[in-house]
Amino acid sequence: MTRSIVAAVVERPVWRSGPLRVEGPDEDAFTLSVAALERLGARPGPVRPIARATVVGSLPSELLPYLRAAIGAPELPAQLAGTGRDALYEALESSVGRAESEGPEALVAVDVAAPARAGEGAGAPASGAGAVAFLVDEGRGARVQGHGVRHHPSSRPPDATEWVRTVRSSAGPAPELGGSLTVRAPAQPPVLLAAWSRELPGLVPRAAPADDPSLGPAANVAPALEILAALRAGAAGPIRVLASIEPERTSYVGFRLDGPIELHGEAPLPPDAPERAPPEASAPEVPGISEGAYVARDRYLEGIPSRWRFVAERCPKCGGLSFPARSICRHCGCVEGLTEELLPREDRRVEARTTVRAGAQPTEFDALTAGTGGYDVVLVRLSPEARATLQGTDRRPGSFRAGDRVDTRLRRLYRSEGEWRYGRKAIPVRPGAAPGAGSA
Amino acid sequence: MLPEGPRALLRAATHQAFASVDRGLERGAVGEAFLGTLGMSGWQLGNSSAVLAEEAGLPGVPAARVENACASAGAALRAGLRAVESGARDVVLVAGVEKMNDMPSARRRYWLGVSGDTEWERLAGLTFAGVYALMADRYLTEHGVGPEALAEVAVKAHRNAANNPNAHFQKPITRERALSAPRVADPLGLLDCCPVSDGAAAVVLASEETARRYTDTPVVVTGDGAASDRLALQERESLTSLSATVRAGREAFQRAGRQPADIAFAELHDCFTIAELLALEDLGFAGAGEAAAMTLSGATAIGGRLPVNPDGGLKAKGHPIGATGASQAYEIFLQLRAAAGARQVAGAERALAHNVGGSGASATVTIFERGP
Repeated sequence: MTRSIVAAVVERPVWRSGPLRVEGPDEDAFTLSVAALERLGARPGPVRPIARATVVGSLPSELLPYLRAAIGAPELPAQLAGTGRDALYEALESSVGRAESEGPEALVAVDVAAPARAGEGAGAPASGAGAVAFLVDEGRGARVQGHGVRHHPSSRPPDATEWVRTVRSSAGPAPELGGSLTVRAPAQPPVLLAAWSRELPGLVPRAAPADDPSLGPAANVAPALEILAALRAGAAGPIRVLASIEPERTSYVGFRLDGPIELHGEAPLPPDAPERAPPEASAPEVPGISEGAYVARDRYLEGIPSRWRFVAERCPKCGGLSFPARSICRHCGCVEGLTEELLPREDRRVEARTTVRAGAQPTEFDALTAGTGGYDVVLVRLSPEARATLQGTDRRPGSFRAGDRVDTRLRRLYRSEGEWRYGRKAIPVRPGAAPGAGSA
Repeated sequence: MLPEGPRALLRAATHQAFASVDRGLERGAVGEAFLGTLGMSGWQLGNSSAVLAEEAGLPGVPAARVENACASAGAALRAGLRAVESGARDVVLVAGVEKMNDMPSARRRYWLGVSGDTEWERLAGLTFAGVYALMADRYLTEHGVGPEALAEVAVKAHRNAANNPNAHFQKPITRERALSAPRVADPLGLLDCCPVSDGAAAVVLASEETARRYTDTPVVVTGDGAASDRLALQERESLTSLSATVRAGREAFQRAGRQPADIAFAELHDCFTIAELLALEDLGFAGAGEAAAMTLSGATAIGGRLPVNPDGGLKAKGHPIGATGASQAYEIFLQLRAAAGARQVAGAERALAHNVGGSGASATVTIFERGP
């Protein structure tokens, strides 16, 4: 059994800014990456633990340990692999090419909204946000068959044979070329497609769809979505090639497809998707000492398993469940032999809710209150024996009701002592967000 | 002139307490002192009991600070009772103090938050108003009642406080005003919340035999109880009942050999209006879900079946955190000696004080009776 891309998850924020989907005020590259990885790990059926994680995108390196913690793999090798299309192709090929014994690998392409260049509409972002997580594992799916870059002057058409040379040098004997060729170009001249067709007989050329208007030219997610689209579309055949033509360079990547990719698409945008809050001038640091929600860094780290992943403990003596996990049974006081247990993800419901208005918030949440007029906090029933107090998000304040089913996401809380503090928040369940929304 | 600080508040309260002893109390009789305070603004977080001894004029007397958030003075009272009950001391001073208005509001919110769960509730953006709002939301949903009963708690508290010269608020309010007040944490509005108050209170405890040397009309503590519960609301069995109150109440009634029907009036911990409804049910004065109707019927007003908080309660008299438990004992002392003036509960012979720490992580209940 060889390694292939066997599954993928598309995670998009519900927030909007004009036509673009952008990260909400409590989202960033880290939270989007974690959300995509979590959904990848929550697929139905047997799931092998991820043995390595790679991120293509602008994720601060100091957040890698938190990425490991968020998915419950503190020893997981995790790495940053640069940004952009070529970095994504390279990371995918490296991952597929690793020895099978290295285990499943997750690769995340992530973007947050990019600011417009000067003179292009101050404050309006130029591209949107999202994350795509690929799972590379033993099994049928898509294998990268080489990738390359051909530089050329803008006045000359790209040389399609470059990709063939790349494939031949990286994959050994010339691969059987028969499948589809998807060409992404600023303008799709038919003559160019014809030229490509002549150079690569056996491949059926087609124009790539234009940029997703809700995403725009996002550096990492747009190429990832192009890959998924190329793997889903086109004529049947073992090879699918994706070429992206830019003014002075062309990037190529080829895939051998020998089975469907399990694709968990993004959930439909809810009708009340919120507009993005006015951009903050800068991330507000709580001045001086904290004024209410201060948790010392060590305690913040200590509580991550329960606060981020809903880890509980089962008592070997009385069988009771303790949440949060504190190395002691809350029912009988037993401190030995407690076993960790993840609380179920299904059927989480609001038991009580409130909307915190200006004046009733810890000062850490002053900026959030000022920007939104308040925020919801909900008590969520996680299991018959466990509840969690969570801030609500992705909805207008005052929208949560007792009895609502909710999902949860890791989100920003506030900035303290030079770093963002993160916590799990409740979000409305989005139909279609569950695994199984589609397949390649 | 600067507003009075904690030392001046303690000085005034303790000296008034000594002055209230009918036949006078020589300071040398006081064997020990206990101080309830959270130490807001950090005025004297460590060793603040020494300040109590200084300001009460008790140099050298052993003193200790007892801290249980809003139930600090209730817990200090218990410590004082144990000291007398054990025979270790004949006379004990119990005081509570909090100075809450000498700092900017943002810093005050920090202090108001320090007694709750930080790792879940504060990180979710809750202060105590939000935590009690969650209880209120669940109570209203679970029992299918509207917010009018919450408003009526506030109306009754302000009406009573108007007759208490020591109360923070001195004017009655209407139910409509309470219901239309700006929202703080739905379903609680501004007038569902106790104010931020400064204050101090002090009581003198003595063994029954010793007390007879000082007065012919002592007020006797016949039972007390205390209990704790999980710090965070999410970990408690119920969102509409404080188990610490239930257990403390049972212990107090059992020790006093009394039951709820024996109580003439109650000082209940109404930091938020919902807290009074929960306390009425947790202490057995009303069945589950019945406190709302009981309140709307007027039963908790002065002249009703069970007057609650004739001094205005935390809601309108004010809630200087560390002082509240002692101020409840002070009000009961006045009432049982028929010295409460315009807010006097006629014929009151037996009363209950209920003091809660935080959102219910600790509670004390004390039963007082007019001395024989």
